[in-house]
Amino acid sequence: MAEIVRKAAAGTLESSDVYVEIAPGEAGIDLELESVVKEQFGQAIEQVVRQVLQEQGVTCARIRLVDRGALDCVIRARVETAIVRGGE
Amino acid sequence: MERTVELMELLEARERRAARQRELLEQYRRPVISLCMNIAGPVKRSPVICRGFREGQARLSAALGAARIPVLFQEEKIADTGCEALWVADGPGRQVKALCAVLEERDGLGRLLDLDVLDREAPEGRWDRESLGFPPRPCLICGRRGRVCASRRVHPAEELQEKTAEIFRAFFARQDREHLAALAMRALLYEVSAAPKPGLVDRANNGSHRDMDLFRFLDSASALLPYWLRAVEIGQETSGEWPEDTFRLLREAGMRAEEAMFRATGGVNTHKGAIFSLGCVLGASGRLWKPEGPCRDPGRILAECRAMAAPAMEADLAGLTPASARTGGERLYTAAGVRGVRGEAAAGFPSVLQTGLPALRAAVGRGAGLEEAGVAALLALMAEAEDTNLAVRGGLEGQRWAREQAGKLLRETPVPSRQAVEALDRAFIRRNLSPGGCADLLTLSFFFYFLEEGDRPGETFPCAQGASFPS
Repeated sequence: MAEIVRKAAAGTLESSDVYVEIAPGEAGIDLELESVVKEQFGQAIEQVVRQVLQEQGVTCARIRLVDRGALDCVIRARVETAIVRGGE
Repeated sequence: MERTVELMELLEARERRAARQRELLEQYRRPVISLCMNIAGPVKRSPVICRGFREGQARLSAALGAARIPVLFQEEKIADTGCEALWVADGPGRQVKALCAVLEERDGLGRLLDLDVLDREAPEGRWDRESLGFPPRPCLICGRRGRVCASRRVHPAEELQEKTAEIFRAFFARQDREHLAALAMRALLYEVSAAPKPGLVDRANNGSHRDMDLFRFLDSASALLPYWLRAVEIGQETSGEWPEDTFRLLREAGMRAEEAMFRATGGVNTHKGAIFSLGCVLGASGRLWKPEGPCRDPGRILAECRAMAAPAMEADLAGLTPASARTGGERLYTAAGVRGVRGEAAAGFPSVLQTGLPALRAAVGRGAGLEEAGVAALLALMAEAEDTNLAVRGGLEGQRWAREQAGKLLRETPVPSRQAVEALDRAFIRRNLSPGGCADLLTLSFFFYFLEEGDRPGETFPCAQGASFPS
């Protein structure tokens, strides 16, 4: 079980990338997504993010994503890095 | 050089780039332009990708220059994770972004450029295309909004890579075609202008010719521009086929070029030899062309010429009989075995590689200007090569005499004085001799010299003393 203890970020605002900010949460996962393809793929992206959080054992965090059309593998990698940077 | 990069390397490179952008924004407080190549797949660095990147930088520089926006700072990084440039522009961010968006839309190559404009005054720190009224970038394959296709991997990476390679190929094929045709034109104009040339038309006189002058040559050279482009293109298009097939197509196109020449000169043969030999060299250059750039090795190009021309040239010569020989050169072959330009082509123009080009380089090495060096190279060719133009006008005796005269002059001094060559010019005119075959070999020598040199401009020449161009 991983705990987010500080505010951390990963990624960039370049096209095909995603910028992820993570911070300690109060209860559960508070997820905010901004995406250039939100209409079409918002749900799919959220699912990827929640899955990574679950795999890493993060149950309580605030997470904000600004997606510029990143591939799923990029979204996964950026969220994982943000968790590492925000953890102990 | 070409290496597959891992996702994490790419992502780390992007973060480093973003950090560097922030530093530059902080330091200069001006818009920062970030130029990257839009390349799908795991290989982000190759010679052709780098070439595309250089083209992108050249376009950006030209666009900023035209808008009179100074560049305060420039840096570039060529890494396995891709090529990137960061420029600080001293102008309004909105205008800079608009100009970048236009570059992204210009053509296929523009589609492969990613130009981000970071600016403290922009919403979220960067200008985006859509807020400035530009459409979203289209998908490389289907033309729909690209982000939708890219983010969901709608098109296989291989398809994207193929399309990218095709864009590079088409763009650089044309750019190099134009470059090679321009060099051919430059070689042709240098050859005819260089003076004094014994017996030949030049910028000082008409030599032994009564039916042409410098201006007929300019008319003809200009009319041949489409053929030089086409000759390279034929080579590029048939690079996968047999060399003799390329040669056959060149000969067909060459016949149409001859018609264009005769139309332009009112029926005077100014460039038949050049159409043949320069066309052959350009076709060979086209065959050896790669998207990374043209082959600049004279030896390889001339070996390709030999492979292309030898079968047809040998067949031509073998088929000649005293009854079928029509041109002066053909009659000389049947009468005396002089192989002329066909022999040169069948052997890959050895006189150019062994005599003309080395003589040109050597004269330049001794401090001669290109005009003087060209004259020295012509004399060297006259002393060594078979020239059927000389033999047709003056017989084998005339050719022998011309060869001896040129050799004698060169033995006295490697770069003969203008006065000495002018005297030889007068002697040629008295005997009505003209080394037209050697002139074509000089054109090829100039072409290869320029090709090796790249795009450097030549020096300026003082006008020839007492120049006159009688009509």
